[in-house]
Amino acid sequence: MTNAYIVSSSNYRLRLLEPTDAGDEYLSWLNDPEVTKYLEVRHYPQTIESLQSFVAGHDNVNSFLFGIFTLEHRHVGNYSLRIDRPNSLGTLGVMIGDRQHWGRNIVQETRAALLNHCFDSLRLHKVCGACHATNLPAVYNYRRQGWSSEGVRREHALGWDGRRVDVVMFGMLAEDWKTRRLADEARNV
Amino acid sequence: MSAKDILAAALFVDAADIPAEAALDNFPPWDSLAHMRLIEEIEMRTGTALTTDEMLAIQDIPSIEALLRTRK
Repeated sequence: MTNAYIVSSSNYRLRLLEPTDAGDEYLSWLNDPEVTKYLEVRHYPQTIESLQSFVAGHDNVNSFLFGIFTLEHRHVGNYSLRIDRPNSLGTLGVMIGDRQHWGRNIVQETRAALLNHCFDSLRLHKVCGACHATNLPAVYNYRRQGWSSEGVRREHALGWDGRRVDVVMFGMLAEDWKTRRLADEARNV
Repeated sequence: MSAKDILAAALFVDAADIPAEAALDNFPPWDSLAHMRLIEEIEMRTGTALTTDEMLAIQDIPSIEALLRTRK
């Protein structure tokens, strides 16, 4: 049975992935160098079996893998969410695999909905994220959405071109997100 | 060249159409692709690569002006 959607935005829905979601299209994203340009997964060859094992490795208690689906139920990307319960922290990662959805504000829109879920339903105190400093669209998306840049880990990763790259750490507190939502709502009244 | 002119070139808009208070979170033409072009434009015009901290500081016209002052 397919999991129900548990997070919704205007144009997308998110549900937990199951091993049966790991099909050829999902695999093709991981073999697309543009999609994986800034992702660690590019270091490891993937097969359907390894992908199914990866999906099954999320316990849906402290680690979640959300699929991003269009309103027509087309799978276009994923969010990973790892939770540190004692500290009430979440760590998000994102991949938009279907390049037709790049440049459509998909990360801003879906991550806002997922942050609502993290703070309202999961009652987390803080959500963290990170990206290569060279991934300018990702840096922009974090800053545009109001995340605080909390530090730079110097030459922390190997970039797609073989050069060492800085990794920027971002954080969003529940209180800051609440303030931002209230301000957005006030603007839209 | 002023910070506003550089921003206009990156955002593909007329400098006169950019309000003084324009920032990456309140001016629609300043999207992620425009932000990429802005960083590239600054690096090209100054002939230097931006550090990560400098790149993170860019959020509005005053921050671009402040950065350009460090390159004079």
